[in-house]
Formats: sequence, C-alpha cells, structure tokens
Amino acid sequence: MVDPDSARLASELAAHGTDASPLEAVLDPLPEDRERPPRLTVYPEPDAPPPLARLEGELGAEVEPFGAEAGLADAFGAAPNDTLYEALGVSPQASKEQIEKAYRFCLDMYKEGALATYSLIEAGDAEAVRRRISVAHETLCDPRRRREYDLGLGLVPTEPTDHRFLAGESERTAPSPSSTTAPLPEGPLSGAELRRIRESRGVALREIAVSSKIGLRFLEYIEEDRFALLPPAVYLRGFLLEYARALGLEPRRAADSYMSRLGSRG
Amino acid sequence: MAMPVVSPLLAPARARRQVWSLGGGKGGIGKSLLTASLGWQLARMGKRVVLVDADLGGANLHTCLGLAAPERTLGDFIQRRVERIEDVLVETPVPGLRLVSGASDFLGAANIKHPQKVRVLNKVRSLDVDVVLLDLGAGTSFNIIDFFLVSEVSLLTVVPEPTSIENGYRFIKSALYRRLRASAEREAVRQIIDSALDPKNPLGIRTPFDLIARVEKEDPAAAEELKKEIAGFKPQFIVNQVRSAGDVTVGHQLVSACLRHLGIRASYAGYVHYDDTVWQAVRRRKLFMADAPTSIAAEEIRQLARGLLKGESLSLPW
Repeated sequence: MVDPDSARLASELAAHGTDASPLEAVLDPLPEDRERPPRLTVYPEPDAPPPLARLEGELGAEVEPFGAEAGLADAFGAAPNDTLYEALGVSPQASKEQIEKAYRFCLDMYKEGALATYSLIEAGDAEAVRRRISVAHETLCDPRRRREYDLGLGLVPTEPTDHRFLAGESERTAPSPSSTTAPLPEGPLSGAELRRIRESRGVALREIAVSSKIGLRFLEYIEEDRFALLPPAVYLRGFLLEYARALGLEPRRAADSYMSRLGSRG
Repeated sequence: MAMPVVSPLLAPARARRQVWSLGGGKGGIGKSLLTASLGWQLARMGKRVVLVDADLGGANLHTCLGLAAPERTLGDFIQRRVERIEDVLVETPVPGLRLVSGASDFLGAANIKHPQKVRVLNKVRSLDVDVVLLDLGAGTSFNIIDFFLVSEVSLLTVVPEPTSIENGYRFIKSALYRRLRASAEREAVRQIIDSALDPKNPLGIRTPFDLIARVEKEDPAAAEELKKEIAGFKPQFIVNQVRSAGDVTVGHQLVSACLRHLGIRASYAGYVHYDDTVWQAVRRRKLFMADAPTSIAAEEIRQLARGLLKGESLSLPW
C-alpha cells in the first residue's frame, strides 16, 4: 500500500542535512543533568547522503513451518515463531476464562473492518492471524487438546484449578530488551557452554523447568547436546528462547547460535 | 506545596519538570482541548504549568482557554523580537497556569528552521515550572516528531475513526524511525533505516522486526542498540471522543497491536467521552472544565491528569 508520507519522509531525510540531526544532541543539558555524562550523538554529514546502495532483497526473517498444527505454513502477522498462547497474547498458565476473553479481544481486533488494526496490517495478514487465533482457541479451550499441545511443547500441562492471574500481553513478539542481557560467548553455543553459564549464575536446572514449564529432561538433553532426543526444531527453538531468557542471555541470538550446530536436522 | 512528580515511566533523575507533548497526526481530534483541559486541571491540582502552543500556523490554545489572542506569542520569541521565553508567557485566569501562545500570525511559522526549533525547546525545557504541556498540532513533520520524542510523557491522541487511526500509526512509525535513525551511529545502519521508510523498499522491510533482523546481519551490536531504542520508546495513547464501550477497547487494542506488529511498548493513558458540553463551551469561548465541571468529559480529564501524574495507565481487565 503506497504511503506518500513515508516516501516524502524518506526523501526529506535524504535532503535535509542538519535538519536530520538528533535533537537531544543539540539541546542544552538541563541543570539536573549536568553531572551526567553527555549522551553519545552523531551529527550527519553536511552533504546529502549518497544514494541508497542497491542491496539484494533478502528478508532474512525466520519463518519456520508449524506444520503439525492445522497445516498452517504461512506467516501470520506477528513473529513467526508464535506458540498458540502467544497468538492469543496469554501465558501458558492462562485459565480457560482468560483464554476466552483473550480470544474475543483478539477476534475483535483482527476482524474485517476492525478499527484498531486499520492500515497497520494487510488484509492477507489479518486473515492469517484470524485463522491462527481460531486454531488457538479451539485447541486451548479443549482440555484434552490443550494437554496434548502442552506436552508437545514440552510444557507441564496446566492443572484445571490453576487460576493464577496473569499480566496482559505476552512479551514474546517483541524484541527482548532486557537491561540485564549478557553478551554471548564467541562461536556457536554448545550445551556445555550453556550449562557453564547457568552454573556461573547459580541457577538450578530445576528452577528453569518450573518457571518455564519445560520438562526437565529436555533441558538436560539441551545441555548434554543429545540431539537425537531433542524435539523438532520449532519446539526446540521455543525451549532455547525460554532457557536463554532465564539466564539473561539474548534469546534469539542464543537460540540461533545453538541451533546452528544442528545442521539440516528438523 | 508543589510536590515533585515521580513516575515509574521516567528516568530517576527527573524529579522536577516534565515536558508532556500531545501529537497524533490527525487534525481536529481535540488535541488543543485536551492540552488546555489537562493544563487547567494540573494547575488546579497545585502544579505550576505552562502550556505551549507548538501548533505553529494553527494555534488554538488561547481560544480553547477562552482568552483573546495574546499580543506576545511564540513567533515573537522565534523572530527574536524578545530574547527570553518568559517575556512571551501569558497569565491566564487560573493561578499557576500560563500560556505561550502560537504564532498564528506568522506565515512561516510552520516551517521553522532547526536551530530555531532547538532554541525553543531549550528555553521550554528550562522553564522553572512543574509541567510544560506542548500542543503539537497535526501532521508528522520533523518539528512535531522531534518535540514528541524529547518529551518525558509523549501522548498520542486518536479518535475512534479509521482516518485518525491511520494517521496515528503513521505518526508512531515516523517517530520510531526518526528515533532509531538518530541513534544509529553508522552510515550503513542509517541507510537501512532510511530504506525502511519506503514501504516498497528493496530490502523487503515491512515492520520494525524486519528492520532489526536486517540490521542484525549488517551489525549485530547496532541491532542491540536499536532494540534498546525501541524499548525506550513509550508513547501513550489517549482515545478522545469515545461513544461506546467498543471505542474504549480500541485503546487496549492499539497497545496490543503496537506490541505485536511494531514491537513498540505503548500504553493506554485513558479516554474521554464525546461530550456535547465540550463544544458548546467552546462556542461560548469558555473552557468546559470551568464551565461544566460535572460533565463526563471533565471527570475523565481529572482521571487522566491523576493517572498521568502517577505514571499509571489502563491495563486489560484479565
């Protein structure tokens, strides 16, 4: 969809030399800020920037097929690695009531002619999101199917009496900007390396199992590099994201790094 | 008597003055009235407030307050007819509430140059008051977006109509990319961001997620920085002219959509019902807060002001 304002902005950015400089850079420090070190800023070159290099159009975003669930192989609106819980914006511990409310909320948000997502996503993406939400609702509201799904993800199935209140949105679809994110070691991440990091942070494997609801044995397999016993890539990636988060590592990079060692498996 | 304003949304050092700005992209949705009424309410709560009509070329704040067009305006300050911004501050009938009126008579006002903009902002930020409220006016020009980005509280006003929602998303994306571009140190990264502004860019970047993924290939450290910038961008929605429960829910949905599709952690500051008393008061050249204090709109402005001061926002009911 053509957005003339965006195109105009793009050409303005190219043309406006000093007008493109960051404001924070040139503003006087406030009296209360004067002791703080100045923020690092960059001023643009006075000449117009060179024309944009023609880069090959590779998207580079991960799209892993979910295959097993209702044959949905297409991308669906948000981050492609959504679990059904993330598609609804609830946590895996959500009660049935919360799932119902979240379902109605999402349905309303992505229905045809919905106001809140107007102009944000395209019709095809909205359609895909609606399908996904529907699958999520059917699966997670049926106790048997939910249990099977949870087991497939390596989660400990939620007990029917578990009604812990959960804060609204899942944060999975957003980049994880944890202020305690630690840098990853160089090179592909091994299970042994993960274990070393975990132990250096004093985190027991059992703690990660309980908080993430991932079966303890899967976490052990990850640390032991027992590739033959690990679940398919799409689930494994989810485990690795959780594991990395629990240790304060940057989740996507950690998951990519570990999974790069698996070759063509999964 | 004026207590320091503390908000979990702010960096700890800022215990005194806050700059709040109201933008939204679409014109005629009530930003000036919201600015005027919030300012009025904050002053009534004992805060020292300055309203700044930054809607250069379309100034309305004085009209919303029921004041005649002041003699001294922001234009005088920009044109250096006066040197100090204090010299264009206008008292209002409300103690603690002062106004810097827009340069409605200054034809070139909508296109002030960068150094002038910097000068205005410097002076505004150094005013010895509790809250400075900036009415940014319509559109997504750099002036507006830059003012929006340097505020402690960035309020994005929408009404429940597709035109406003469309402009709102345009505004929020423009602001985000501007913020990202300003933080990018390397030319290569800036070029990727510039490219992303064009929806038909050859890199296939459609969302900030795509942008981060693309930058990550070029420069993983830069991608980390961009993620931090995105995380630090926390616009707050106000839904104005609400007429139904569904309209109220739109605010929650906007927050959810921003997170899912843009990776932006917006929040929902509050909503104000469409209320006939508001426009009727405007017609009579009065502010509805004083003229109709028991109206629904006035009550909701009071709630909004309280919530904003405490740094609280509305959350989903489950």
